Amino acid sequence: MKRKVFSILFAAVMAVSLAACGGDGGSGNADTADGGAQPGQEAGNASGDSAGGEEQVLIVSINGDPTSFNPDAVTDDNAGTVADNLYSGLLALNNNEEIIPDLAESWEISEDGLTYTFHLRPGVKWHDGEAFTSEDVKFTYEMIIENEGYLAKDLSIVSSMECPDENTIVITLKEASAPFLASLAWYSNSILPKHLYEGVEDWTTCEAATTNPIGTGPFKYVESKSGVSITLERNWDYFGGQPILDKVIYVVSTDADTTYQAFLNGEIDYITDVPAANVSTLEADSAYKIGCLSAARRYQMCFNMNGTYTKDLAVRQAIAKAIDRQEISAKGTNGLQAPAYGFYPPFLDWAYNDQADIGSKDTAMAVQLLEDAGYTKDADGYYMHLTLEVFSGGTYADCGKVIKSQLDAVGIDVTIEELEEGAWVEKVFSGNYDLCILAGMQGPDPDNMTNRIGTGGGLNVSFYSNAEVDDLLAQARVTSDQEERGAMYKQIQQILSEDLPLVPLVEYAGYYACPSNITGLPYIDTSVDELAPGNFGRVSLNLD
Amino acid sequence: MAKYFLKRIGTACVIVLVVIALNFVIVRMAPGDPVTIMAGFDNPSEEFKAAITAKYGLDQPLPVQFFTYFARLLQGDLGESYYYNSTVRSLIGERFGASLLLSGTSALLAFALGTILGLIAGQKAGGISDRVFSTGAYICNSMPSFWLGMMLTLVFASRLGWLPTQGMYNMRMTQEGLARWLDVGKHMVLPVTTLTLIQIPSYFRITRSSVTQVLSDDYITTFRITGMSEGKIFRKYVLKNAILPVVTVFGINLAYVVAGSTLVETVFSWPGIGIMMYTAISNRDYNVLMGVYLIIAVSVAFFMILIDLVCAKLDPRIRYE
Repeated sequence: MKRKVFSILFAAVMAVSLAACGGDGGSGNADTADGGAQPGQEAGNASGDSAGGEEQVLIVSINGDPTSFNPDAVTDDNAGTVADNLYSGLLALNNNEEIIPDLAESWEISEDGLTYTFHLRPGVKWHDGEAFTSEDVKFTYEMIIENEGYLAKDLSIVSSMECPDENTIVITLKEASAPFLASLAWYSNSILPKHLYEGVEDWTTCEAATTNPIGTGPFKYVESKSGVSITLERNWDYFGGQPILDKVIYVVSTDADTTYQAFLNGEIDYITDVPAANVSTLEADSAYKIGCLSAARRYQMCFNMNGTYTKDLAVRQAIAKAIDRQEISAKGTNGLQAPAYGFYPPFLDWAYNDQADIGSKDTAMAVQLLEDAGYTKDADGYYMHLTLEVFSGGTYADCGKVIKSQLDAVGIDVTIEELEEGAWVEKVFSGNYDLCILAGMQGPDPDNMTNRIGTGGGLNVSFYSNAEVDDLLAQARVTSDQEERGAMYKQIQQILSEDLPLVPLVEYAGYYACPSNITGLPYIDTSVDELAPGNFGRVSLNLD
Repeated sequence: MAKYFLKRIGTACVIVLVVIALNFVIVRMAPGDPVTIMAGFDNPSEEFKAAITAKYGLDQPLPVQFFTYFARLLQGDLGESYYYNSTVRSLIGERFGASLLLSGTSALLAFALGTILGLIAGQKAGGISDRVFSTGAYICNSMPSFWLGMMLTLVFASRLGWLPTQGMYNMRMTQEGLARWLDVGKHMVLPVTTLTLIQIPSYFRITRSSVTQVLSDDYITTFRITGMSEGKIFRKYVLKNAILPVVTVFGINLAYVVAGSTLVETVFSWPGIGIMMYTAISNRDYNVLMGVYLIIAVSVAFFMILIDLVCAKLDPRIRYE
């Protein structure tokens, strides 16, 4: 009896191990047995077995399926990433959040700032061979406005669009708007083919948005498998020059740590979310290259301006004085995220006011401010008890812990509440909180401040309202001279440093990595600054 | 008997209806709403929010939303995902196979291995194999699945390089046919092992204790006294009596196979229902969530009835009137 049972067990083990060894040579996992991952070479092997050519395939991780192949209809980073290779915008932002030409090769703005004339690249073809013309641009923007796409808000100031010829589009605005160009370059801004979208019932469920997306980008759509992958192939006719890669495959990889292991094991070539704990390991390893996105994003702590305690300026001043950003950077982020100074990210010289800041830590002064404002310590030795809402994941909670200990030192007790995004939004947006850590993109234009600190702004979680700031924001929006605009934004930052609806903490840092034989990834080879960061038109695997 | 099962099916239908209503309310009670999440974080547009709210009828009062949902459900329509521009039915359809393959295989393996090991250990409680297997079961039982998955990955994929790290397919492979299937098999080894290892202890322990208990029953002693061979006693009497509770547990586990395994699927990027459920929770994709929960509810109801049938077959003492 026993023997029989064991032989069944043995057979099972054998079957499992047979399955394990039964893969073919092309899978190449055995190549990486000793940890010497060489993804590029592995790709060479794979193609060597099948086609015999030097097929260049780049495997990129994304953390979820794109929700749509119509990037104008959704605000989804996975869709946006894939869109960078499938589609082109009129303009784009590069790896430093600067505006660069895309389908428009040049443009002029009239003196009064109302008329924008874009000159499009001649001879551009859609992936299905149809000619791209200015009518496509006009049609796309009209469709976005009609369907309330993400960009509709920015396009609402358009009064008319005209196409004098195939390669020119003239957009006239109702009022001058300095951030207009930047909004056309940023997000959900892909130009879509009129010949496929015209007359469709729903722009999110039509064929061009689901199973047959057609764009003008460097790669064409081949196929997608839910939860598994999206495959793109080279667009030989790409207007920005022939891409070197034959294929780009996005693989859905849901766990950051496993993704990192798969990257080390050569199954993934490019990861866009290196776990913070592994950054220094990769930096020290010459087999890999690493890039960092930091521009225009930062962590800041927002005060609830209606909060029982935080509505009091003295409390906010005391907290600002209790904060030591160097320590938050060193202990909360392992030094990976630099301390943030000033009231706007410093990526735009002309708009950044380096004089407006909260100054360095001064515990004694913080306590003095609280005492002067009449606060007294309770039985537990605290002037007040506050909550701090942070996102789960990332380094938010770690930064929160450092802040907690810093505020503890001046007699303010902090309870950290770690919430996933949906719950965080509900809690903070309802105004039922004291302190929160907010992050996110603050560009591409400083007009982004309108949303963050303007009265009623969508991301104004502080519920801050200052008529002077609102006036300056409105003025700066219609001023075309950059220096004049800059002066206004600098003045706003000065006001913020006095009103303190928020305090800067640390800059954002997102890490990207690839094996060192891969070149041309804009976030890693920062010299590739003439393409959108997700555009792989210049990427090469350098196989030998 | 038939009357009894008709009654059971009737009760099951009522329970599923209650589950539908409960799910509907509970998913909406969670903080956060799908529109805010869909509108994005950096620069949400009120117009965009209004447009999606209207598109999915989220501006309607809750009872109206419920009856709309229910009316569509009666026609076999699970609704649309807010997040993916696709129907819930096709989303679940795309993921169903992968979950079934992973969870189904490991449920069967765990059942087979756990029961066999339990039978061996139970025969001689306190013996050497009992002590070894029981210790093993303790260890497996105390390991969280995602951690075990990660450890197996580190050893067999990263350190030894024998097996792929994650996913279901080798993206660099260009061959089709048999090679593809073998490749899937290779990708299955680590997640299946993880799920099997953590499920084995429950089967092992139930089998072991029921074998031990049956062996100590008086009638077994009587058989022994009459000189019946140990092998015959075991096959004819012990096995039959000891297997009943194990079958029940197996049935309960099978009922949840359709839900996949969120943690293990996430760790291994396995494209199953579990991951989809997790994404749907963070996006408050109500229809997808309700769709998955509904399928789980139906599956549980179905398997409970099935277990009753199987047990009646296995155990002549059970009679349904």
